[in-house]
Amino acid sequence: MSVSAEDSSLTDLNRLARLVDSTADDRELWRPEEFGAIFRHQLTVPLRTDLGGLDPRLGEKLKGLHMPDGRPVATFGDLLRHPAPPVALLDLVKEFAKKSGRPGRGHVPPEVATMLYYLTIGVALFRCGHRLTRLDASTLREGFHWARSQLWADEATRELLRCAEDHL
Amino acid sequence: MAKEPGEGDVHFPSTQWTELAALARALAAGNRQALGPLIQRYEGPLRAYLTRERRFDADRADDLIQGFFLARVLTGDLLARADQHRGRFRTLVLAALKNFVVGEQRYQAAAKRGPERAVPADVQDLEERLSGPDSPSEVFEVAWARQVLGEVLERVREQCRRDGRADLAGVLECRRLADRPASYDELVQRFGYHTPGQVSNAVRTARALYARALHEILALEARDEGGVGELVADLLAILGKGRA
Repeated sequence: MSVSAEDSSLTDLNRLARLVDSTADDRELWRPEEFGAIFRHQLTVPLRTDLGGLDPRLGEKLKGLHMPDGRPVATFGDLLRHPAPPVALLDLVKEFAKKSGRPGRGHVPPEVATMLYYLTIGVALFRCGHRLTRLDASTLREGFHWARSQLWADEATRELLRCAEDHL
Repeated sequence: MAKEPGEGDVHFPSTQWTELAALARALAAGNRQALGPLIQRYEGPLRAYLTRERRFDADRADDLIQGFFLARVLTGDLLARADQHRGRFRTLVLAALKNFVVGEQRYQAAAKRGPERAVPADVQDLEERLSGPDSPSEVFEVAWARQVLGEVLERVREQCRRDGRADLAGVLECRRLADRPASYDELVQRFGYHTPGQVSNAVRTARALYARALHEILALEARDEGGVGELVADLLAILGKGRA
């Protein structure tokens, strides 16, 4: 099928150049101003969707786990907001976060994966009194501080990280 | 999990000098239809050159281009000469067209004036303008770049349609071709992706499909693997300095 050089979708040479350029580099898959949207989206994802591959017994671990309002715990956000989340599930989320941020291959930008990583560790520390990691207090403090200082972090996330830091 | 179309490493077909040589053999064997992609690639850029830079009217330009393809490509030796030509194939095509046009103008002028009279000044002027050292024509180069990228986009669209993944072509276009690139949230809403992983995979796969299509389309006139890279660099250079 012949393509007309006057095709209306080809009128801007800058955009065409961007298209050619985009084949070369995976670093800029997402713009920093999109990290917040990606992070919020990840929190809405059902745990079974992204963690099922990490643990075949995930269904059993979720069984009977409910939010204070009676809803079953279903999503990443549910788990991280739960007043007493099971440590085993938090550990799975931490592992998912570590795998998800691989540059060039990950599900999410490394920055979003790092946020999820430190948030999960922070929830385990603050809500469960449990240390999910062998990272020392100084490194954790730096990590929590980094996460809190991201402009795209929402206030609830920042508050949780502050509480976690206080528990170090 | 099943592999999405185009996902994973992009394996480029190997090229030698190359598809043009294959076209030359096809033509020698009587297969004129094989030249379809080549003619499609160059009709528009040659027309742009003749009408916008050399000010031929559209009908005359089309006549010249048809005559050129018949005389120099279909029955001539342009493809055979391409193998010895060290520069870009499109440079050879443009130079061959210029020579053809001069020849045609001379022929027509001679037919009008009879054998004894001098070459008219306008034909001499055309000869001088067209016969100088091959200088790049920005009009031709930009039209060539547009044509190539149009072919690439069409190939991506076709493949996505065949694979039932029209969303991938849509992702590519709304992220890279729209006046304002679609945001992450807009991609999620428009294409119904359920997880950031799906969105990232879609964007990566779309880009990989585009990269592969670009390579395949440019391979038509590349000397070798390195030649494709050179042509990509050409595209970026042309798009960087040419403006519609």
